[in-house]
Amino acid sequence: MKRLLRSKTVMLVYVSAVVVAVFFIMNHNYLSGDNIRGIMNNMSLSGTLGVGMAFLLMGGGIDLAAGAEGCFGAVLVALLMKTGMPWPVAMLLGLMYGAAAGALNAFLINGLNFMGFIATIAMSSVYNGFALVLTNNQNVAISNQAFWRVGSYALFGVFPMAFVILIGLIAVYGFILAKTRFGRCILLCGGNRMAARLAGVSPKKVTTILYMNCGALATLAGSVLAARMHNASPTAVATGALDAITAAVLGGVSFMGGGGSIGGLLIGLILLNTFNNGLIVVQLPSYWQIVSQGALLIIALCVDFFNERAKALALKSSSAKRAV
Amino acid sequence: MKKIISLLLVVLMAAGLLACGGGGQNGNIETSGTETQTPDASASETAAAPPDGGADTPAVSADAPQNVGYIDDPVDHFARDTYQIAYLSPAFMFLQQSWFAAMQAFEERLNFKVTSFTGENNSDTYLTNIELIASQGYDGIIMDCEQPVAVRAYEIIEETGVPYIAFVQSLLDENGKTVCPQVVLDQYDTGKKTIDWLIANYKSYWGEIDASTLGLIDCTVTTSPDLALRAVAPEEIFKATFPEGHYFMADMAAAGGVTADAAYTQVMATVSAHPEIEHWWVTGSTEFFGSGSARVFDDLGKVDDALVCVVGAGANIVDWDSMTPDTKSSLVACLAISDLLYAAPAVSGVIALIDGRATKETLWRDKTPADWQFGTDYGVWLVENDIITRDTYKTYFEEINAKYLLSGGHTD
Repeated sequence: MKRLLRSKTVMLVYVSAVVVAVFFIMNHNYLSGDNIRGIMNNMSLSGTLGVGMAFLLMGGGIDLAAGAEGCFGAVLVALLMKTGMPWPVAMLLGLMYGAAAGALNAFLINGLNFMGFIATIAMSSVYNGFALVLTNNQNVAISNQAFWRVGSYALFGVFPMAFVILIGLIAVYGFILAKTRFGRCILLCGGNRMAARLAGVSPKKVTTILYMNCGALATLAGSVLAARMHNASPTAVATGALDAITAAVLGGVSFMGGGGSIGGLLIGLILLNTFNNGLIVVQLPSYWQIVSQGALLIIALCVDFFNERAKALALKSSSAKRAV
Repeated sequence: MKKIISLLLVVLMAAGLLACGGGGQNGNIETSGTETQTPDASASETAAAPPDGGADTPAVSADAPQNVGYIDDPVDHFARDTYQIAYLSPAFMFLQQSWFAAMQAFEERLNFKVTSFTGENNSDTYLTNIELIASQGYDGIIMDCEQPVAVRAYEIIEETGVPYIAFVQSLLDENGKTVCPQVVLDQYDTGKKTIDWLIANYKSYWGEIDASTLGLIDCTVTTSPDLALRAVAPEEIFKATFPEGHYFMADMAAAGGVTADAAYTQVMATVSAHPEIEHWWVTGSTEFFGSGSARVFDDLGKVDDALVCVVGAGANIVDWDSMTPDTKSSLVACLAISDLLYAAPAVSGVIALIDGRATKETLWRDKTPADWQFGTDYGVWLVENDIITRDTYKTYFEEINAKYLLSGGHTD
């Protein structure tokens, strides 16, 4: 119990609670139903992207093109619907495109040994460019009102559909990570590729699946955003990949791979979005908002650093005692 | 592996070529493709360059009104050779492509050929292009020049002696004064029109309201000077007209930039934090803020309690197009600026300069606002713009297209 209370995830819950309390004291409407709904909507975009990104980071990969893939995917889905295609079919094709985009990333990184960082930045430019070419920099209107509901319907009048989808994803992916062999393979590949190979796991195969998964979820995120906005914009989801990475790292997912949890990601998302929303609610000048957003990440990383150092010191001193 | 790499490169190259050749729809006119040049790529253009020296001075009918440098200039553009005009921009993104396509739309009517040159977001390339354009014998230049290189650009272009006008951005000297005729947008005025429209029309939606229940969310991006200027008038006028009202600035610089989602985030948080405000207005520096804000009021079920009127039309027209007649929306109006309204004076003006029927000191002097902030020594053509609504937008663009493209064309 003591160990659980000192875990990083619980630490983040404390920090989130403090953040919420501070903003609530500054403006009591911070916890109004409408504002919570706004926070949930914001969380759903970075969260859906974040689930794919967190898995990829844990497996030792990174996809800086996730935002662009999601943007292009949403444009594709909107254009397909414009031809009269039913929206579930268009979505399915969109998800298939997302998986294919991820497979291409994996090929560049695993097959051609490009650095993930560089390869996905380059692919980001390609997808952004194609989105602009396909749309001529015009938003693509979505007039299918059934599809609008994917983005704006509120379950029980409270929970936005996009947020419900996110919670569903967190449940499924949390289960995969914690309870399945594949979940353990992801952490093994991210932590030590050589050890994974010796254990009979193919890191290339695992990361290919993770890149495909990340691409598909990026398209899902972009499409849900398009449903909420009633149009697909070729410049949407621009900062999506960065937000997703920030939430994941904030939630304890190791940037170097091999560590993290979906629960941590959820707390990271809550902290990031309640914080950003609070800055607007209390009307902090915009330039200070930018400073604060960066500072939050630095503080979270420092807390993590000191926590890890304290653990290492404790371990060292107990080893020393045992040796004596 | 080599085969796979080769195949991949071929696919990418083919996709790149397709992308370069892609024309398509730009605003309300058809584009016929683009020809962007950089110094490296433009060597082959030499063969197609126009002959040196001016063409014959065209004939003007004696009794015709002297609308020199206007689209309805009565001069016979076909009494001379076809002019070669260069459009030089700092980058060639889709906005510039739209303007370029709008210029191309006048080629047959005004007997010229326009070619685009881009600085590729590089000051040196931009400046080098000015010399390149002059060396290739172009008759005139339409210059979209960013302020950091304006002083040097001015020196170079004056040395070349090629007639030119400034386009989209004023060409200013080191004292911040204009140095040539220009086709620009009055950024302050665009924002003023949106707030003026809301003030003039809100009663037809809500009747008389208590001003203390009214809030204005002024969406802008303060890191972009031009866009920031569009948000000044709404603040000034709202505070002066409704001193008891509630003003909020929503700066997208902190929320992800010029996107509808950024506007959604900012507006949702602001509206949620102020339930005491019963009526909302939203003004915005770009079209994207209109559709993002409208979604907030859709989601909160406050469509009838909000009026959104922003600068820019494209995304909002897409929104209106997607609605059925009975769909309610808080997005009631926006300020439209047709690309044709930018292009028409630009090409007409530079042609008048090339003809020699106007000088840079005389062109459009009658149109210069008396209080123009960058000085009144040269002509200033402020691009026309109008507020359009869900009921009027189709007619507006039909009328612009009819006025500028379908009438007054050359006939043999």
